[in-house]
Amino acid sequence: MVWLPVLVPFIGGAAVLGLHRRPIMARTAAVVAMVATVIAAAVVSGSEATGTWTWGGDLDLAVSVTGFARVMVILVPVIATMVLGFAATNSEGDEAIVKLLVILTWFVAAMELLVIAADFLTLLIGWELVGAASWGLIGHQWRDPARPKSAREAFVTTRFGDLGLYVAAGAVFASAGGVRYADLESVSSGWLSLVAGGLVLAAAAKSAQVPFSPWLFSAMAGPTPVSALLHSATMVAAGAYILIRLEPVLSTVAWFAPVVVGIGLVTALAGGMVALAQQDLKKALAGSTSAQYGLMLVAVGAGFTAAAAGHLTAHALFKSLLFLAAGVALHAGGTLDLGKLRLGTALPRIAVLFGVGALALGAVPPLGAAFTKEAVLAGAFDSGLWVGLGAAAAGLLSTLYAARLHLLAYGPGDDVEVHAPPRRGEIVALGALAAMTVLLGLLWLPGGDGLIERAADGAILAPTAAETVLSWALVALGVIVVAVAWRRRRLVSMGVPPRLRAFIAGWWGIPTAARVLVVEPVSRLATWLFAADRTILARLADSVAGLGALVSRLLKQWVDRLIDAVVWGVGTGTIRGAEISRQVADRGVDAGVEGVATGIGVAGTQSRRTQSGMSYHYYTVMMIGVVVAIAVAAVWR
Amino acid sequence: MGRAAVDVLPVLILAGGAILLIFYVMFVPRALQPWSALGATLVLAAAGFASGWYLGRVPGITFFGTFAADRTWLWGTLIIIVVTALAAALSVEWFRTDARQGEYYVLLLLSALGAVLLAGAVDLMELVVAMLLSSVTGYTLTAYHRKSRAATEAGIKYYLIGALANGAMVYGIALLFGLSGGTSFADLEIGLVDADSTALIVGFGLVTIGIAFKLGAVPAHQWMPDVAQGAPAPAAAFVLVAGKVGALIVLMRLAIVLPESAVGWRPLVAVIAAATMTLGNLAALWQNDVRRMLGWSSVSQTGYGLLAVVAVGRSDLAVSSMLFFLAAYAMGNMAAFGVVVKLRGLTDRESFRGLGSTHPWLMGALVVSFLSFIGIPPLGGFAAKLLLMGAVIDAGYTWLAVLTVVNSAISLFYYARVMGPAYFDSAAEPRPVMGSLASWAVGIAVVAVVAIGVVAQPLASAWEGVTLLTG
Amino acid sequence: MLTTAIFVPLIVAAVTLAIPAKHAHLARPLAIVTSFVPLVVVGITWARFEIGDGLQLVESAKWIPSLGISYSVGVDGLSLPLVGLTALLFTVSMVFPFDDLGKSRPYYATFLFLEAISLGVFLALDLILFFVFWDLSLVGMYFLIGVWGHGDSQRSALKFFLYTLLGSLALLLGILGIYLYTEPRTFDMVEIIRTTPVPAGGVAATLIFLALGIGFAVKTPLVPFHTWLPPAHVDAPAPASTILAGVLLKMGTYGFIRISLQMLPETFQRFALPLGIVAVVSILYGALVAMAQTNLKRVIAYTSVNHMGYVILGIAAAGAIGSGSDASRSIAMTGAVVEMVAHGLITGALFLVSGSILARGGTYELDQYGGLAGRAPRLAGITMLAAFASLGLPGLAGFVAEFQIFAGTLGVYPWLAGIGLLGIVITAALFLRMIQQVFLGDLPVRWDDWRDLGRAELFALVPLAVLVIVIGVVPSWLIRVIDSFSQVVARG
Repeated sequence: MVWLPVLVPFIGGAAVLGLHRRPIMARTAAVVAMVATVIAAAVVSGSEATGTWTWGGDLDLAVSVTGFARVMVILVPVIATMVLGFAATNSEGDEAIVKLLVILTWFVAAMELLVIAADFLTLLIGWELVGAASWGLIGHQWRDPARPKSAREAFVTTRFGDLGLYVAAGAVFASAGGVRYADLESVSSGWLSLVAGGLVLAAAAKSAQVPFSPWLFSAMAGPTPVSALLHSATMVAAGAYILIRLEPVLSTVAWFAPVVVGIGLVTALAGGMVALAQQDLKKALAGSTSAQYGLMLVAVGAGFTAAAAGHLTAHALFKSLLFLAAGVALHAGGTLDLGKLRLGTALPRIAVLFGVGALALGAVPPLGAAFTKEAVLAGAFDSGLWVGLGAAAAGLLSTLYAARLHLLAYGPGDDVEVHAPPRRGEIVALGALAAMTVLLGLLWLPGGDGLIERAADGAILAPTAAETVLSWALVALGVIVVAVAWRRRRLVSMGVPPRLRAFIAGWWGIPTAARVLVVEPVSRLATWLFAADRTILARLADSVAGLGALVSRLLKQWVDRLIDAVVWGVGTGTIRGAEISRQVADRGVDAGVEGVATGIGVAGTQSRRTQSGMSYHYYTVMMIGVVVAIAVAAVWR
Repeated sequence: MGRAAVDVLPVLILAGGAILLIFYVMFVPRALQPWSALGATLVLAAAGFASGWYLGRVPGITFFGTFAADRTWLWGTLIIIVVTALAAALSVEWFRTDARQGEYYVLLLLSALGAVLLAGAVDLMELVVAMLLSSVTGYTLTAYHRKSRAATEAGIKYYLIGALANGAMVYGIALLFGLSGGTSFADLEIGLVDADSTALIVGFGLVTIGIAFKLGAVPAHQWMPDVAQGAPAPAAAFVLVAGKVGALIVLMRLAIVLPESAVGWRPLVAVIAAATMTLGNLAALWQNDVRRMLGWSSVSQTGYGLLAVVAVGRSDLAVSSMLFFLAAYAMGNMAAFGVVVKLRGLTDRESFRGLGSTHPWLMGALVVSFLSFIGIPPLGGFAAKLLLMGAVIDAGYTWLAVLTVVNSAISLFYYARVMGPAYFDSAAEPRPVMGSLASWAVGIAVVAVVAIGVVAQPLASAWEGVTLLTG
Repeated sequence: MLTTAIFVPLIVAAVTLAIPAKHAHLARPLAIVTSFVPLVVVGITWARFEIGDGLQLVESAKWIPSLGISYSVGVDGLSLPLVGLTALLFTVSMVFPFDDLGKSRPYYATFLFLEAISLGVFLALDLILFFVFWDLSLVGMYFLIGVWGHGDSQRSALKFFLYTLLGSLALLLGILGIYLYTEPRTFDMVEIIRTTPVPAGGVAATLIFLALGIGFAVKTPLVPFHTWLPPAHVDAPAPASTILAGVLLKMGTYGFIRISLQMLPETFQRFALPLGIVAVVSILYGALVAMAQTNLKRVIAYTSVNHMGYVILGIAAAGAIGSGSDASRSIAMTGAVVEMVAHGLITGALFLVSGSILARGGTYELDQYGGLAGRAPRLAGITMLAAFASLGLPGLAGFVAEFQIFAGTLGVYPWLAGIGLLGIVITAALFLRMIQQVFLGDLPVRWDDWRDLGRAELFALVPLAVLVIVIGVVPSWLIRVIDSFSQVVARG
């Protein structure tokens, strides 16, 4: 039964595929499948059930719904239900909507497997399947040659991180003889360090941390619902999720906490600035995704996994909301350029819904996201003053970009006629996500802390009064700064020179660096190796053969022609040959056999025109041979 | 005397049969000449039965200590007889229009007799007699087509080389006789123990040249490609093989009686083997004349065969590996030349294009013999090479086995130059072929090549403990 | 019974040749029906196979007892999966529609001959018998490439034959070396594995190991002995490529396990690390060079070098007795054998697909294609499935193998495993690029009337695809069998 959250969407996806000739039913089936997954997840979530699937040998696949998985297993299909509902009514994917829905459903199935995994092998399976599904989703519009390329970039980048998971799984197996999470307890410290290293690599890549963050930009090639799902509860969430799950064991590795905090903080700050500098709505949101997951990593590193888990949940809700609303903006405005949108007047209802998401992103109380962000901040200060200040700065950045995005995308503007007004289903999906974002504000009620701690099976730290004041003050500051910039019409540029802004917006040059330092050297190496393969290795074999061939050609000429033509003139050669043969014949043993004599006679006349001059040479060869033979027999006895 | 004569009954049959056949040839009219082939075959059959019968009661050293009528000799004799019979079968149609064809079969029998004597020789004088009988008949067989320039040319070359080699051998024998005071191998074994080393080396070196000539080994190998190319194809097949059988056995006999401390015959033979196989292969590589290529490949085969001599006395596989080699090589060569005969002497590589589809059976036979030469299992050539290499590794000459391996791989190249176009190029016009007797000969040879590898147990058990007497 | 699997195809091959010309069309159905005999035998064998019993269902007969040579066949957890793979691949390769240039009788006869030979290699329990089959596989493949290949096929066929013959002769030297140490002399593999007669540590053991190693490395092929492979694959007809990659390459890795590892365990252990390094070089080299290719078949050919590197890495780790835990070595061995099966199925499918593409488009050049996914969804689907399996996606057969290889090797040679892992990123990149170039993007106008896979092609490809998925999702039935063997080897 514990497999249901995986099986239901998987079978649902197959059903949708089976209905591909009836698009309406297929769309309905996709949403139904998601709702059924939510129900299945809810049932499983309370059951504490475990399950195994025999692989053979020393391995089997184990799943269980414990700890934060109890929340996550529901969160994934809940958000997916909204996103699929949106996608099913959305016109963007019309051409091959069924294919999109099928892969989205399977995407959810893979993510659910990842969530309920109780061992590294199962985790890896889910982990990689999520990545592969993302390739299919990002490259959805495959007729456009650029999109499959982006999909490939995203997949290869995240797969590089997957290597970490291979290493982690192998290290656990090498040390403990099994791959269960439970086996981690008996892993020796050296191997545990390797496990931690592998997991941090895998998580950083999946959760778009520095230096892997830019793959999220590539992922923008997919349709909006894909981004909405990929940035919220699936795929990107996997990295933070697994660190939250395994932090209790991993934190025994000395370097784990500082490294994770470091990565998170750097990403939170750098990603925040990317979001602030971007002029593309979806890319700005992508930058904010990296930044927000950076904050979660800070909390994990600081040891407050419940804070991270809470923030992950809140983020999942509002980020999917923001992306779906961005999709509406793209359809309505025909662009994602923040300098040209301002759809607030044209689409007031969407503007409000987007606003809810933006407020959450900006951590404005009393939304739940503000509560969780403050918990993160408290955790950060707990692990060090500078970490706390850094996290606070990142918080300020998030307020800044949230406010900026709202104003630029859905701020008051001209009452233009939109290309494609949002459909009812889309609005329902947005509304539901907004409602859940708002509802999360209930966390502010007393007992919110305890609820999160129990749900996430981890610790959370209530912020001190000073921290709360600081946090709120920064939010206010952020709002004021944006308001001023809005007034001065410098909100798009934020007063940063264009080239610097382009540099930051392009993820601090990381894509260029990756191209110059990794992609191009590797492809040059590949080309070079191929050239070497053809010219050196293959030739090596050929040239050994060629040497033999050359020797044999020389031999052939030497034996058959050269001597003849060069050393001995044909005429003299034959005459001498004939003479010698007569002498030998006289001395020879038995001249009685007439045939030979006749033969010699015939040859004597005929050989003037032929090659029997060689026979003289044969004698030379033989005499040399005799001498060599005697020498050999004398030397080696 | 009478007793000794009975001991070498196969020899007597061959000699007597040849003499009878001479009378037949001299006195019957031309129309009856072709029947001399049948006569020769009957003689061979009788000799073969005699040899087979003697396998049950091996006479041992006989004929006043000059002749080793042991199992090795009997098996060698059987191989020579089969080869001769196959050559006779191949010859019938080849010489159909030849008025003098009767003499040819006489020569064939005499040449076979020479080879048989060679295989049993344990006396230097007998060695000379056998060598000369085998050689002289060989020259004539080679030059049998007097009108053919190629044949006479080949005959002369063969003869010239043979004359020198045999001359050298006689000098060498004189030296060995002088050193040991006797001509039988038994005398050598005793008499050479304290002999002057330098003279011994020179003597043995010279004798080796004589035997190398018969074997087609470096440095007296040059006649082989010429004979293969120029001689009448059935005669070429015979000349290339028969002498080699006798010579290899006698070389082995001679080698083991020599004191290794005084004369490094083992390394010498190893070097000759290495040079022979390598040179033969390299020279064969670019030949466009299939018969000449077969001649060179015969040279390289000699090189492989010499491995058995290198290992003799050190590995118990030596003698049986030699017999496997001789049988497999003889049959393979008869099959390959048989195909050439069947194709009326077709010899240009280009002419073999596409024959795989027009003459599938014939090319199949050629491929089997080639693959056997390369050493592809489970053919006879593989069994031979397996044992030869096993023997030399056992004898501490691993490098020679490695060289054999390299050479085997090289040899694939020139065989493939014939096989490839035959199968890979589009079909050509069917070629005119000889009658069915040649087919039978080819068929028997091919079946033998396969059987030596696949049904090897009877041979292996017969040859397992086979003795090599030296007097 | 196992003998039936070898000799029925062999006899029918001869019968096929003897079919009169006017009934030549019977060759194909006859061959296909015959190829089911080994499949059925494998099925029965699998059902009767007792886990943990070592070699079983042994059939033996005297052959050349005076030389210690016998006809002896049997299966264990190592050979059974490979025999099954061989039987399946031959059936699908014969089912796969192919223009046999009007020479259907020799074509199907050669295929049946090669099937018997290949089964023989994996079943043989006598070194000479093994070598007989081993060498004959070269002959069969030589004619397949030469007669039915395209491009410069004569040259490629000869290069293949020459190169692999040299390797196999080196192998023969190694076999002889082992033989000369047996007492009493025997080629009986079971006996040799039990007694491991070659004294460890000596020069002889090293030389024998190297001779065997070169023989197997050429066939596998390991870098730098691989240069015969790309031309042979490119010029071979698609079904022959499938057999070459799917079956013949496995003979090399099988030899490494059965002979090098099992007969010279101590020597293997001494050379395990160098072998592992060569394997990692092969992994990375194969992947990188594959990435630089513009020719579909060359891409697949070089990924074979890469994948066989994984197999050797697993074998090297498994043979490093004394390093890592028994569990690690055992899982590495299991992974290596699963990889052999997986690679056979996956690459077999990829080569068949490339044959379909060549038959329609007339070229292997990737840049000549594009956007075919819309025209040929079945072709695209199966290719993508195979490509994803090849790059090691979970849920498909390749992952099952690669995970175990890396998990096992990591416990033995962590650094090698870590470096080797980079291969799976590179293969991901190159396969996705290949899919992109052929199936995605714009459809060139001239492929507007591109046909999707036909029924006969699907008959050949679907079983492979299904097995790739089944092994990926439910690997236990396969791993159980292999593991019975791996456990024994890993214990040393």
